[in-house]
Amino acid sequence: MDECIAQKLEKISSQKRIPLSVDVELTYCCNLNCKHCYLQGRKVSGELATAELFRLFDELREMGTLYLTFTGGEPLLRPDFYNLADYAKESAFALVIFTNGTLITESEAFRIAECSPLAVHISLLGAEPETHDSITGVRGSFRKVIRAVKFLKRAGVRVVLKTALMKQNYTEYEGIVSICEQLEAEWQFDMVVSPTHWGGVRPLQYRLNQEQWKALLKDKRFFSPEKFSPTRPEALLCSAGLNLVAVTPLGEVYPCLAWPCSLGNVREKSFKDIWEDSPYLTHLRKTEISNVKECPSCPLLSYCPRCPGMAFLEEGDFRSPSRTNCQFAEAIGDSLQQARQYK
Amino acid sequence: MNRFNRVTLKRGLAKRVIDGKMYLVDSETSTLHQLNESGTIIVKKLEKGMGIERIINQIVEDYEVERKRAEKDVLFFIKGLKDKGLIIEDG
Repeated sequence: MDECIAQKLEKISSQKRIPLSVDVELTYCCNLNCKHCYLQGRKVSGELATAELFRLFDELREMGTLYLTFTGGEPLLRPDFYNLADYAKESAFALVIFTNGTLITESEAFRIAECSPLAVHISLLGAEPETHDSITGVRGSFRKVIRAVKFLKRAGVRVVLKTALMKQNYTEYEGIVSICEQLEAEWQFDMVVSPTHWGGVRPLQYRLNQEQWKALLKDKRFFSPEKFSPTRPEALLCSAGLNLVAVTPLGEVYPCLAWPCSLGNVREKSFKDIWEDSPYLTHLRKTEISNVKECPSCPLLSYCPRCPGMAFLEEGDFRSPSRTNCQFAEAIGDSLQQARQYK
Repeated sequence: MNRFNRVTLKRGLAKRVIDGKMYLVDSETSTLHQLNESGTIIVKKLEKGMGIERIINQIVEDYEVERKRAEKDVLFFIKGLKDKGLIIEDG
């Protein structure tokens, strides 16, 4: 993507309150049972029907949404998945699909390619089949992911392999990078496992500790001291609710998938009304850096990857510090100091 | 490229007009393009299936510009779209 144009678009859409990027969870159903899933404990009935989603997409198109992400659960489990993807293409959205990859056969890959997605993101949770399968809880899921990537590449689809790094798999990250290189797929790592949307802490037992983060941050693929630019105070708040928003399978609107605070439900109000009139969004948009508690004067500010959603999940208030982010900032600070000492 | 060429926008482009400017995403190249206001007007006419000659005529009529100038600008812009792979020449 052209950085300069992307930045301009980011800025103008935030200023004009255009929901430029919308993540839509099409379903909570999933054929895997990942240990770290933030949707554990979900309710899987009463999900938005095809017509309701079409209506939502119409509204989003009218409001200027350009990027639309289909996620889940496993979105390919929806029987109407291709109706929705075709509709998104006809509506001229830039479509991104998040999937676990296990349902993508050769014919599915070519059918996905017909929907012209900007990219398909697939979770790869280990370099070894045993590791991946033990995290997903389903034997053979690793093999299916690799097969899916090959089919998608053959069909001309851009693939991004995403890995949540956790205790069970973080030592395999180099192997994961090699797999991505061999398959000509891009890679993305996430080092922080979140609690569930309903406050469940079970996934947190798999989260890396500070020493493990520090060990990973020594690798320049994760953190480059030369390219490090300090976090600016403006970054303490993010795009969520300004030009980014998420919709759940039950129609709840959240500022972002990582910030499960209901702003309203598209079954009760139009998306436009929720986006324009939600009291929580109004409050969020009026929030200034000085309203963020503790963080603006924190000595770790320069290193902080603060996520208001994580603060909301941990403290119930997006203006509070997130203790997880504080620990991660400390790990980054340490890595930077060590790199400077050895210079 | 001349005014009698038949051109159509590439299929599968994602696009939106934001603040008067059109943004296009080409998923084949993962590229985001931005058009200025005049370019946005021309692409909207292409989307409606208008040919180059008709677009030039409409611009002359709607914006009271000299025909020669309109033809030069439209052809230059469409050549730019072609160079970026955003349009297809039908013949």
